[in-house]
Amino acid sequence: MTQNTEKLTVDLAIVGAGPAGLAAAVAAYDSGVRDILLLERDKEPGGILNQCIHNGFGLHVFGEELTGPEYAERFVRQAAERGIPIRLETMVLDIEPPAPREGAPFRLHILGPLFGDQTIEAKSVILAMGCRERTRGAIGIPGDRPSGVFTAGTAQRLINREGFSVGKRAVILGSGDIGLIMARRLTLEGAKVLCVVELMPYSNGLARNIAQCLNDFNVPLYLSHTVTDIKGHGRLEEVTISEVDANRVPIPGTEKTYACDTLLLSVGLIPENELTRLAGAAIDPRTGGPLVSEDRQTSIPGLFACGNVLHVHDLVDFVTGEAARAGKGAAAYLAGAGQTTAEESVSFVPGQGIGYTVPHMVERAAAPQSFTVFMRVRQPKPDGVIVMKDAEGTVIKRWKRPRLAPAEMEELTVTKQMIAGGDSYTFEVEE
Amino acid sequence: MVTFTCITCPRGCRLEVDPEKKTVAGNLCPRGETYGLAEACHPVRVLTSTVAVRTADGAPFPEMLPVRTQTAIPKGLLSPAMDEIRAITVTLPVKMGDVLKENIAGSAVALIASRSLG
Repeated sequence: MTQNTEKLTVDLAIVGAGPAGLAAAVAAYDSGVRDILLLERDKEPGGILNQCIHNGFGLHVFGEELTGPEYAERFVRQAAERGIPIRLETMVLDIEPPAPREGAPFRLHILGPLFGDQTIEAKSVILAMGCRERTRGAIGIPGDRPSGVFTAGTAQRLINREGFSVGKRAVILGSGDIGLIMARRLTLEGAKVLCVVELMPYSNGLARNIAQCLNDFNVPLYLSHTVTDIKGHGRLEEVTISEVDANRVPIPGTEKTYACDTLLLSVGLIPENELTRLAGAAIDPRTGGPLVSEDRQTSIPGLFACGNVLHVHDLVDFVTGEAARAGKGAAAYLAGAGQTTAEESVSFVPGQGIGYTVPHMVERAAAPQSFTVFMRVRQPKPDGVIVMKDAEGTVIKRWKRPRLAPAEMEELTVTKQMIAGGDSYTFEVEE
Repeated sequence: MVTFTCITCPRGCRLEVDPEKKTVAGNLCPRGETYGLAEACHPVRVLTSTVAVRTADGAPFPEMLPVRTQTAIPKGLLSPAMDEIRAITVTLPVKMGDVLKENIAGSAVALIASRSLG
């Protein structure tokens, strides 16, 4: 890894050297881009994978089960083998879109301890900043404000990277994968996990994590429950949970209290799009990330996005695939830079039962023979069917699924032929 | 008949296993059959954790090293394996895949480093 702080103009700048940024860099290089710079705010590349020490990564990409650090190291190595430079401890503060003149670059204002503040000019930029956790403040849990209340990812970092114990008796709010993984991790480290509490009537984690993280260690999961009070002076002493009704309102009289010193919150992830907004890209309120076409290009030509900054993925393997698509997209943009084509685009609309789709559209002329459309359903459903309809309501294709769940992103393969007849298609869960 | 959620991949198939007849239903791939039969008679898990690190000159290193069992070990050995892992301190440098301890908790499986460090 080189830390050349002299070079201030590049063809492709990538913001973030986590799994998305690394895979995008490798794919862009393999598609012919040679002048790439990765910008990473942490002291090393790899992103959040470095603290995800559990196994289960890489089954799609590598055909084997790896831990997070192993998955990251393989991609760090791939980037290093290609000589792709990474600037570490480098924060991108702002991205200015190109001035409205032929060939004008993006301007990235960066800050770091090695060089102070600098401006990097790039012909194309890939956004790969990832996401951050929702906090206690975001969900408004009432009560005291003692220490011992952590987001699950912060606790994961403290335990797995820094070697601290976060507490001895824990309640976990939220049954997303990070909450489930941390229930097992705390138990293995000798803490007592009293319960996992989930607001929704179903878990938002993968079924296998319920099995291997909760059931293996006899940790109870309370669905349709939430934390309604926190007590403690200095340190957390007691957490109250209550059952909620169909409108997710706590039901009086159902309170249960747990004496504990730790509360972990695994209550959602938010794509981190401050830079995207500063650059002026259009945002999809459903995903919290930018609107993109199939090549992961945002509404600003030459500005791409991939990974959790675009939409929160449940598998890093999907992030890798998407980032490779963005890397190839940026390479194609750079190869044809200067030519502007007003291409006809085909849009994808989330219909009944579908939360969002990514991509949001595809350029008809540039569409590959087949490509993947990712989406999440709103409700769990066994034996579900997702249908794709054209603007007249004609069914183009049906995909049968043994189980649909909001926690499990669906990936549907769409061919160029399927979008030949119209300019807008809706995806729905069949009634 | 016993039912399990397959943990081999994120799909999480619901398996129905008959341990007598050694049959598995509900799996969408052959991995599920292997997992289902093993889970019914001899459940195993890959164990991941961290160990403390020292620099080459013996000073404590401010980061933990992630580790894992090379292959899955019997579920009953998770707790004794954790006791052994807690007692390990490794000295830098470490390469991903380095064997840190052979035969962890008598499982005949090695504990290996999940990343390179130092």
